[in-house]
Amino acid sequence: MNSLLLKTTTRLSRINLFSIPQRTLFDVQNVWGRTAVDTQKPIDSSPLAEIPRQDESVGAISGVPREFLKERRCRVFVPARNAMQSGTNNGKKWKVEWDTKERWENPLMGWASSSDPHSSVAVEFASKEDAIIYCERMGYKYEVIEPPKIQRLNKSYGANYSWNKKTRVSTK
Amino acid sequence: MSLSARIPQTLKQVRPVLSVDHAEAKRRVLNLYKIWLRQIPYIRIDYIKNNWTEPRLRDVIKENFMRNKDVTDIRAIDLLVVRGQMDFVETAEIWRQQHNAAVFDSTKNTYKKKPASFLERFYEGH
Repeated sequence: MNSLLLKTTTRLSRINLFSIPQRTLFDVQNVWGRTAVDTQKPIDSSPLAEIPRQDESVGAISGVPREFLKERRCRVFVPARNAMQSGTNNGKKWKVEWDTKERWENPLMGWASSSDPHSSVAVEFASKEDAIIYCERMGYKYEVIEPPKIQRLNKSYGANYSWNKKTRVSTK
Repeated sequence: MSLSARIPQTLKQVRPVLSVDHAEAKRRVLNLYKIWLRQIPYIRIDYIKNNWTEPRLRDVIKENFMRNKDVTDIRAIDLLVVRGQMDFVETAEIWRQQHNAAVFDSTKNTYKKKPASFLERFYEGH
């Protein structure tokens, strides 16, 4: 009895599925919804207001997956100086980098893999304020890491021979 | 977290995208919501392989609208409405394929769920 009932129900659902006539692309005509929402430009497009730049919320329309906007955390920092003989211009810009997610070794080739689209992205800005405004507009959580202050000594060659400026300390 | 107080507030002139005030933006959102609801019988037969029922489709549409419920910027709302409108036309004209319409439904998400608790994440290896 029980198995008979099961049989009839499965058959019924199958009939239902195919009895609905499926439309083809050619059956669709005049999608009236196309004009149901008025998306014409406003007649009067005079400025609404003046708002602080960082109050603009662009995260929702940026196309970034919304989990990223919630979970990810940004680091606003000045990149470290190149230890080789390069110039110091590198340290004049501010960078925004996202937190790291899991990486793994590709089992076949041993290449480094990641499923995180932000893993290789660092956005550059001319100033700290710009970087902060970017994070705030997008709605990211962020932290600012101030660059360490480097103490510079004024050195002169002549000081080596001065009687009152002790530049070399005897080891004896 | 916010440092707004410390950074200089540069002002920006804001021009309307579509709506001038919140009432107008709300009207546009509701209009879009209504055309999606009216399309439900057609979505069911056009995307039959998703096996959607009418109540389920209503929930799916509501869920997609409620995702952006915290957006308060009028201009952002307008752009989201325009995007929703484009999505609607794509769906109604059957420019989507069956699986492409399924992305609206969060229960049809086939991605492996990420572990939430500390121990589960530990067992996963990160």
